[in-house]
Amino acid sequence: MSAPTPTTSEIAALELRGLHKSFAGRAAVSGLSLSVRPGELYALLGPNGAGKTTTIRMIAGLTKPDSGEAFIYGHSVQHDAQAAKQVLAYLPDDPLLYGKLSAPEYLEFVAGLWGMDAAQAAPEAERLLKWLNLWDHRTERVEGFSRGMKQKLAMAGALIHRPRLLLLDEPLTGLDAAASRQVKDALRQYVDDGGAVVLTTHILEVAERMAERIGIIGGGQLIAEGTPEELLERTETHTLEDAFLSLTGLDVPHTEVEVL
Amino acid sequence: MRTEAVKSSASRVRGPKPGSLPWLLKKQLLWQWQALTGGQRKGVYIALAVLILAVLGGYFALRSLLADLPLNAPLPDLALGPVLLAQAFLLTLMLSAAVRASLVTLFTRGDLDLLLQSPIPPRVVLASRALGVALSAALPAGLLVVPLTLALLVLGVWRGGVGLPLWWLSASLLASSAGLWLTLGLVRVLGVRRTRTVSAVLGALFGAGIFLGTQWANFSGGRGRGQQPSAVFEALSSFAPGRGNWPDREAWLWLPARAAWLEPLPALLLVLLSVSVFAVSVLALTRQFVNGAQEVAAPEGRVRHSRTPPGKLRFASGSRATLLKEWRLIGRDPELLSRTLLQLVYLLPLLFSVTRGGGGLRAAGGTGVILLTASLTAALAHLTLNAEDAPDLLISAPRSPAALRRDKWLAAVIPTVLLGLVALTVLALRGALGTSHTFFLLPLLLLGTGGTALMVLWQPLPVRRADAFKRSQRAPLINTVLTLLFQGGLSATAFAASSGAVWGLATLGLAVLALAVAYALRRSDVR
Repeated sequence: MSAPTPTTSEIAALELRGLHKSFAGRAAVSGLSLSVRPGELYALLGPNGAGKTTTIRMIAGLTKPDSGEAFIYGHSVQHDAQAAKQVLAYLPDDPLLYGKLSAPEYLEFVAGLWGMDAAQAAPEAERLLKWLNLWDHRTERVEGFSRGMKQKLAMAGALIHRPRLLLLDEPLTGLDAAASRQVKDALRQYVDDGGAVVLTTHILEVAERMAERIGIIGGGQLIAEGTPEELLERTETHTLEDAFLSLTGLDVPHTEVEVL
Repeated sequence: MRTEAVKSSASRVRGPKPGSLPWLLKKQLLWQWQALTGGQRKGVYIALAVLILAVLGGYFALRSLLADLPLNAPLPDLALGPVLLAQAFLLTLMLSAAVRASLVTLFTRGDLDLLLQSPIPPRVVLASRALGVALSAALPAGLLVVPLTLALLVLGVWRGGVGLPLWWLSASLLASSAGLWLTLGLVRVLGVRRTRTVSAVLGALFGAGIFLGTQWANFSGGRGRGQQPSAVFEALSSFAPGRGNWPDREAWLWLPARAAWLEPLPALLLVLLSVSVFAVSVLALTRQFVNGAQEVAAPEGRVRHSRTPPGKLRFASGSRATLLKEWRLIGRDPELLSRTLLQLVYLLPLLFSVTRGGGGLRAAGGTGVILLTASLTAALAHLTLNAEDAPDLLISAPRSPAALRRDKWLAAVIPTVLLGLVALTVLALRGALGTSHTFFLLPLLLLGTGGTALMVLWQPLPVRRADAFKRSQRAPLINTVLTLLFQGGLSATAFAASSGAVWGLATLGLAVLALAVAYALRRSDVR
């Protein structure tokens, strides 16, 4: 895993200030403020429709907030987009790929988008493809890849330009156990090397085991934030699942199974 | 208890038996109907009512005038040849549409998985999809057949009014059967992925079949100047029963033409033949269809292409990386390949004619190059600028949108400019274009390709790449009109330039005006 270039630790890797976004009069995100430090993995949790993806898309510059502002290493996503995007990588749950390209061709294009020099990008792509076990498939078109292979290639695309902030929307979707472990190890190493990660996931064990801090949003607002231990303590529960259900007010319906 | 209740309620439901072909067709037709908006349904009702009233009104109005004419007499021998040729033309249209539709209709995922894993027999699923192919095959010919049928009915020519649609339906069944055999045969030999490319190309070639046939003399060089129209008419007039070496009226060759005039035996034979061929095709191809569906469901990968060297990777930077990406995607697009091939199919006879013909044809050479390169640029620009499959990746990247748009514009323009330069050079070297004429055409080539791509850029129409050439994704009418004015104006200027006609400046002005209007109406990419 390539280490991001260390920067002054005073500047937040990500800072959200009062983000608002409504769709058709319905608030998807309502006054969201949070901060993520360099070298921190921050898990954004919430029930379906809580506003996680909208938040991530506003940070990535894909959705314009109605009000509020997002800063990436001090650069405003709205007013200094190019500088903010230069250190950012966004990996959605549906990978941003081109089916008719091969993996190296895809990485060449992504590296070009981030202005990487070809002489640096090629060996980095080779290293990432080998590390993610995609090197043997380098002459195949992406349209023939399995879901997990596509996810790993998208991960390689996100990492090739050595970002300092990774936005991951459900990064483990479709990965088998080995690939999932590989990605988790990679993220841990990336964070240990000083990078910042914001990820959304429905797999609470992942958040519990990997995240330094967890933010739980519901109805577009930050309901609770803290380390996993702090959240357990606050809710007087023993698992993150119970804490999550308690904080979001979700009620698990009793299931009756009728045996025919 | 519950099972009995379900059974009793099911027995009360009237209509086709669940799981049967009529049941499946009824469901699919119902869903298509429900997909229409209230306004659209109202429009269908009104159109049908107007048509019926117009046909009935026209029929009764003309009845007294035409009563004495023998409009329903048997078709004369001299008419059989032209009718058969028209049927052959329509059949190539149907075959082209059937080949294009077969792969999509047969293997589009949609509800295919659900249907194939249900207890419905696979032959029923294939039959319903094959009827969909038949419908797709019938539609393009319908543009000619339906108005003609209505006209025949208004005139009270009931033999043609009934016989022609009967032939149309039979021919669409035969065309769809041929499309199924061809497509599933190709799937068996080449696999589904390669068949996509091959069937797109074959569909294009079938569509151009009649045109190529009419241009055969240009390729063979068998005609002298001035002899062409008379030779064609002579050949056409001798194409009749008993004339030349053609068999008499009772021969099987004339059966489709006689069937279209509702002669009982030919009509019956044609209907029986088409239904039998269709039914046998469905039964015989079911296994192949299921195998193909399983192949589609399986990962498509392991496609190797030799251009990636096996050793170390070599990358390009910045704009070159974007250009390479766009050109790779263009080169691997089967639909674009078939379109380009089709344009070349139409271009080649023109070039042959130009190099042999006189002044008018020579002028057409330069005009054709300007028009065809602009038209090809429109298709390429639609792919590079509109059919971006990962727009979020581009938006989340720091590269400026203006630079990206410029690269994508260049990716569409560079290949067509090069193609145009090659064509103009060939024409100039073969003496079909004068030096000054060639140099005048060069800026027109640049303006035509660059301007066309700009018009696509200014009127973004974001689509998924897979849907790039679907009819439902067509540009708004104003864009089409402006593009036609622009390309038409430039082509006319190119034509005028061959004789130094001053009116060429007016058409050039019109083209520039169309470009200016497109610029004034430009929109941003709302994606």
